[in-house]
Amino acid sequence: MLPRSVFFAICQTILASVTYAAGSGETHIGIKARTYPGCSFSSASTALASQNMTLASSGIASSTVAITEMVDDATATLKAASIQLSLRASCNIPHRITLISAQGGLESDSENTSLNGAFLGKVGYQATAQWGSQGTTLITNGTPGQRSDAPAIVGPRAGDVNIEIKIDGTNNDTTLPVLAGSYSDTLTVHIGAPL
Amino acid sequence: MQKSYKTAGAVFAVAAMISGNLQAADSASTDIKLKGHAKPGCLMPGPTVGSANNAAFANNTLTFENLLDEASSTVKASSVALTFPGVMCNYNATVSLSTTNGGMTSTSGTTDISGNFLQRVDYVVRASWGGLNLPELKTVSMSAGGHVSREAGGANRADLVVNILTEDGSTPVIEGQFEDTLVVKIGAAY
Repeated sequence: MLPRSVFFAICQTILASVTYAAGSGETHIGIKARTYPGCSFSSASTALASQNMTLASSGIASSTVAITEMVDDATATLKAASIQLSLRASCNIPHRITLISAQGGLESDSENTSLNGAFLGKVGYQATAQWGSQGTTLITNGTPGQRSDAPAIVGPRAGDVNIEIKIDGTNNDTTLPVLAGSYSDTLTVHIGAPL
Repeated sequence: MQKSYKTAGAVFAVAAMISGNLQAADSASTDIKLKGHAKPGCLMPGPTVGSANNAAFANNTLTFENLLDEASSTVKASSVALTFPGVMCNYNATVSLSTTNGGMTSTSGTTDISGNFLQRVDYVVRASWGGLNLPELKTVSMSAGGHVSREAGGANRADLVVNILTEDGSTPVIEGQFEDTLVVKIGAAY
């Protein structure tokens, strides 16, 4: 009498031989996948329109907008400027969009002093992000790290984020001369989980 | 059995690789750097005349109406105060005063055969820009092109007051037309 294990091994061999001899077979492969919550920007910024501003460089992670003429030659007062940018983004989860200003406005890179009279030493701007039906606006007030409202987008979304940046008299005294110097700020566009 | 283990290991590796591609951050950011440059510049409106003594100012020309004392032909004291309102420089500019001739010099060429007459009329200029006082410009101690200057120390926006005066003299002045050009300048260092 054959041991039980050997008997089964033989049966399996016979079965395999028969199946092979039949010229066909079948096997079932289970396929599984999991997607993770993800948000990303997938294109560099492009300029849709501009006035006295240019998109000097553009990448997915970082772009540079340069003001062509910051002050009026005759009066040294602030000149209006604006630019509209577009960049592709997607989020596969409900999320929020936020604008953050690193310095709360354009700040001079150098130490400025004034003896008499009023000067504009920090230049405010207004930034608006439109993302589908939701929009948010940041009007800088000089507070570093200033953030806009963060409206909720209830579902996933993919498409263009439209950004508008404006420098005008909204939060600047355009009658004052601007202190000479190089000014800069970093505006961060954030999509995803609330900050 | 060993072969099955290897196969399972390979499948796991592929799955891990795929799941690595799918995994993404649950948020994303992009930075927009904003840059601008405010050019250095100055504004200097034309002057208005304040107090004047024996002097008149018009069309950027100061005229000492009676330069000499009639009895002695010596220089009479005269003065004028000019105010340049709201002079502005948005950077650390330099204010300077310079004399083209180093004093008012005669244009008529009258010969002094005795050597006892003044051929040049000197004057003094004092200037202040919102509390920033310049050194006095005294032509008596200057030659043509002489100047004084002072760095403001920062941006400044204030009236620039310039006083120009002649002092009583003791030496007779030769007859003639006397002229000089005083340059009041704000801007780059002299």
